[in-house]
Amino acid sequence: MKIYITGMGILTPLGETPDQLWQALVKGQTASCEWPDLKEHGFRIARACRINDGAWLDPMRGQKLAVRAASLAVQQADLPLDGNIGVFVGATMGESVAYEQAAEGKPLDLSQASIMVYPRAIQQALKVHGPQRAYGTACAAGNYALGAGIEAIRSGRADAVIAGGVEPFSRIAMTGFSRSRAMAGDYCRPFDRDRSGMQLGEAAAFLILESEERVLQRRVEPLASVESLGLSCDAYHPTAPLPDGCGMSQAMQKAVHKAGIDATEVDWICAHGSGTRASDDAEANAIARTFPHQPPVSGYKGAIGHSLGAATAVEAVITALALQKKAIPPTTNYCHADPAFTLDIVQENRSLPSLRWALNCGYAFGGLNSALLMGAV
Amino acid sequence: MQAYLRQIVDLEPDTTLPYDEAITWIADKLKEQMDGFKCTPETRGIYLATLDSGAAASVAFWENALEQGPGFANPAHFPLTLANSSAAIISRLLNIQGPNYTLSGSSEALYAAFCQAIHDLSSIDESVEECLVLAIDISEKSRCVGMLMESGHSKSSLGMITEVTEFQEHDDPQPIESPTIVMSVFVYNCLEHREAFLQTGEGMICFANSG
Repeated sequence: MKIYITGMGILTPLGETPDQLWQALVKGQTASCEWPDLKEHGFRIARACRINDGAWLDPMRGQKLAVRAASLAVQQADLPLDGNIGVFVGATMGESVAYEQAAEGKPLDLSQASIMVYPRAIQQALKVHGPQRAYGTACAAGNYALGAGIEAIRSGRADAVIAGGVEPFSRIAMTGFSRSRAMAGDYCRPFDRDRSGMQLGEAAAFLILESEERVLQRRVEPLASVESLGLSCDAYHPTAPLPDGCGMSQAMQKAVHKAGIDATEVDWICAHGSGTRASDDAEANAIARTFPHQPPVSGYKGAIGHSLGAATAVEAVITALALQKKAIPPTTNYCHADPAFTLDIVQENRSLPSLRWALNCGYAFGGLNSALLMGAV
Repeated sequence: MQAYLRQIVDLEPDTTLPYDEAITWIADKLKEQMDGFKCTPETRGIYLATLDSGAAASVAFWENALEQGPGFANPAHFPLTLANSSAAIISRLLNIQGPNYTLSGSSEALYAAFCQAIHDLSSIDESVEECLVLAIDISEKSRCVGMLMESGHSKSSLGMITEVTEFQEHDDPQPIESPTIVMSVFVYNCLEHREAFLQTGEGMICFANSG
């Protein structure tokens, strides 16, 4: 059964509509800047990509971002909210500010802080009924939610699904990545020779998934298809990926195999591209190992930062737009090829009229690997 | 869709252990008590339901950052703040290289973990042969209750697990309780009554003794 995307809603540091984000990526813009409040708080590196609304200390920030992005997606799809509508959400830790406030002495109510609050908040705000899932699968969580959405529709468990990810800005994560020496001092440069680390972001992104039959019945225009999710786990290290990328490669192979296509049919890879040396090295190895035909590869965390649990959902939106437009925006901040890689990194805007299949990849601490195969309509 | 139950585990780590040590203790015990995976690492999956994984570590990590300053917080504790840290530690110690799920919530998360595991065991595409379905609660109860499930019936199968989806609407919010409580009731009924049901607003997981 073919599953289509019929609506997309995003809130990112570079735009609050898919089109705004696309235009910013095409222009090579970045949301990275230094934040005085972070500097004041004692962060050595105070650069991040944040949604500039000043509400970063709201303990319900994630829920508000999730509801707004999901509502925008529903609006674009003109989705009737009756019937069995699933809500599947991926995130990393939940409402970070609630945990921060608990450390400062406020009581912690897990029913308002853990990841499960996100699907509940969307269900309540949109008054939808159906299965709800909260995936705590860190930086791969958006892909998990989308993959589960595909299965829910195919199995008849849901008529339509609102799937995606959310991550409010987290000072806990800022501290963690900074202390792990994983953060870039200036800009995040995925796959660049001079890459020096990641940059923290925040975002919410939701996609409406519906079956082909329902799309035809409703006479809505599908934006792209979501085909299959490949998952694997390195089972190797708490934070580092397997250097040879064989775990990542397994996830890529599974996604392609499940869709019944050949690896050589993949036309473009929207990479995880965190900008850290270890992750980009492993991902480059995985891509080279899995796709010897060297499809173009790009990464956008230099533009919008790493929004952790929301990252793969935001990148799924970018992938859907690319499949629609038959074009690939440049890899943000990519200037110098790394001689160690044999990848075709997209450095300039590229038109790709033959773009049919794209793979959206995301990996997470704990060795989680995910690859979501998406197709043009 | 169906799967077969091979083994049940019920573990209670010392409540005084810090989070990472408690999870490591659980992983060591799982390795010791289970009769071992029969399949290759990439065909093993973990499906973990939790209400609180990472929560206490997040609070402790930020306490540490406030005390020492963000430039001096202990980086080794950061991975523990993530909700998937329990599944990550267990899969590393048990060499589980297939699907790795962490579902956040109470009974609905456990139901979802079972559904995903049964789906993956039944699906040719997933190539999953053995699944560890776990409910974990460290900060409140310090308990891990779980089941090892397999795709085919074997001599050691305790019974069959099936999923029944009912599509019930649930306007009333479900009580929020630890998935370990829901799982322990299910496990008790499996062992004592040879049949058991785990029911949520969305559907039901049934166990029937095959013997």
